[in-house]
Amino acid sequence: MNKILSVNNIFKSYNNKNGEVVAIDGLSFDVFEGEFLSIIGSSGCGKSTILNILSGLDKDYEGSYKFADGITPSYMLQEDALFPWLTVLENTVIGLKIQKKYNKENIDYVKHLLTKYGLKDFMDTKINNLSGGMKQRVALIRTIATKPNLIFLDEPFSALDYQTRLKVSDDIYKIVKEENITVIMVTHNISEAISVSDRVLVLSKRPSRVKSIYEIQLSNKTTPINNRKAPEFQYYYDKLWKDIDE
Amino acid sequence: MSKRQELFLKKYKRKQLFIKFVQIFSAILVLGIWEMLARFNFIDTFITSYPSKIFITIVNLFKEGNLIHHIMVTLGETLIAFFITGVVSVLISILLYRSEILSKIIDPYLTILNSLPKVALGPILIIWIGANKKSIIVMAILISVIVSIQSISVGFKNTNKSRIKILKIFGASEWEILKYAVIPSNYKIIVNACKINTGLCLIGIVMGEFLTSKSGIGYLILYGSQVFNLDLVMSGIVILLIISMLLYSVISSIEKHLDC
Repeated sequence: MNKILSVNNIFKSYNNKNGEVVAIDGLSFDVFEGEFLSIIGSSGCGKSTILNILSGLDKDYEGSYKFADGITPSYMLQEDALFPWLTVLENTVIGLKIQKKYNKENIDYVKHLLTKYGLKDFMDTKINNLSGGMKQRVALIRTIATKPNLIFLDEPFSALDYQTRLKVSDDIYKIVKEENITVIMVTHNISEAISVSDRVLVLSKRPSRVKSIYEIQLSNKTTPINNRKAPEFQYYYDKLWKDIDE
Repeated sequence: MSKRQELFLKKYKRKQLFIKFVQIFSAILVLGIWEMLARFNFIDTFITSYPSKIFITIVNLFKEGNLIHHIMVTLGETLIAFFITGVVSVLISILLYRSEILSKIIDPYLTILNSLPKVALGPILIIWIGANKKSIIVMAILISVIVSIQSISVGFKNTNKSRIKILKIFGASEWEILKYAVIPSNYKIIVNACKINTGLCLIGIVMGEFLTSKSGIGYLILYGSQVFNLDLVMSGIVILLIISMLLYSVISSIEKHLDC
C-alpha cells in the first residue's frame, strides 16, 4: 500500500507563565492509502493536538510531517459545529465557498451525497430541526464536500448518546469507505477504535509517543456494529486496555 | 384538543387579559386621579399641570405648526446618533476581536470611560465643536457607544470556537471568519445592543438639547421650565414617551423580522 503521510519526530509543548507542559515528545508514524487508522490514549495525552498540527491549524511545534503528492486533508470535529442560521445544504457547501469551488458541478456532488445518505428531504431545513445523528452526518458531508482523500476525525461520536453513537459510527464508516477516503481518527473509546479501524495506534501517557500499533484482524469484517461481535474483539480490547492503562 | 389543554388555554388567556387590563386600568386611574385633583383644586395646576391641559397644549402646538418641526429635529438627531453608534461600535468590536492585545490594552479605559457621566463633557463639546447640532449628536453617541462596544465585543469574543476552527480548516481568511461565523452568531447581540442604543441615544439627544439648542423636544422642555410653563414641560415629556415607544416598537419589529 502507498504511504500517504509520514510523521517524523514531532515535539510539542504548551508554555504558560506557570510552566511548561510537554504534550508530545518524539512522535513518529506512517499512514497508508485507504486505511482507517485510530489513535487512542488516555485523556489529556495530546490526541487532538496531533490533528491540529497535521491539519495546519497549529504551527507551533518541532519536527515534521509530509503528505504524499495530491493528498488534500479535511477535518471533522467532536462538536458538529454547524451553523444554525443556515440550512443543511448551505452548511454543507460552506467549504466550497471558502475554497472558491462553489460551482454547479460541486453543488450537484454535495446534493448527491445528501441524497445518498438520507438527507434529501432536509436540504432546506434549518440545522436545529435535525437529530444528533443527522447533524453528525451533515458535518461529515460538509467535511467531504471538498473531495478530500484524507480526513481527520476528532472524537466524532462522543457528543452522542450510546444508541445514536453506534448508528452514526456505522453511517460514517460506510460513507468514508464508499467515497474511498483514508481516515485518521482520534478517540479514547477502545471498542469504537477496534470496531472501525484497520490499525490502532496507542499513545503513551503525556508526553505522548507511539507505544504500540495493532493491526486489527477480525474474522468476517463488515460493519462496525457487526465487528463488535467478532471473536477476536475481546482479545484486542484487553490488549489495548492494558496498553493504555500502563 | 383535550379537556386539560382547553382548561389550560382558558386560564392562560385569562391571565394575559388580566395583565393587559391592569396595565391599562392603572394608567387611566393615575391620569384620572391627577385630572380630578386638578379640577377640584386640590393641587396647584400651575406647577403640576393636568392631563386634559397637556392634551390641549399638544394639540395647540400642532396647530401652531412647529411641534412637528421639534419632533423631527429630535427624532432626526436621535436616528443619526443611533446609526453612527451602531456602525462605530460594530467596527470597533471587529477591531478588538481581531487584536487581542489591543483589546487588553484598551479594556481599563473603556471601563473608566463607561462610568464617566458623559454630560460632564458637554461644556468641552460646545467649546470644541460649537453650540450646534453636531455637539448634540456627539453627546448622544458618547453616551451610547461605549456600552454598545462592550456588549458587542464580548459577544464576538464568545463566538463558538469550533465553528471558527471549521472555517480555518477550509482555509478561510479573517474576513471570511467574520462574515460566516462571528457576525451571524451575534445578530441577536447586535440587535439587542441597538435596542438599548435607541433609548440611550434619545437620552443623549435630550441632554444635548438641554445644553445647547434652538429646537427639539429638549429645547421645548427647557424653554417651558424657563418661562414657568409647566403645561409645555409636561407635554414635552409625554411626546418623548411617545417617541421612545415608537422607536422601541420599530426595533422590536425588525428583530422579529430577522428571526434570530
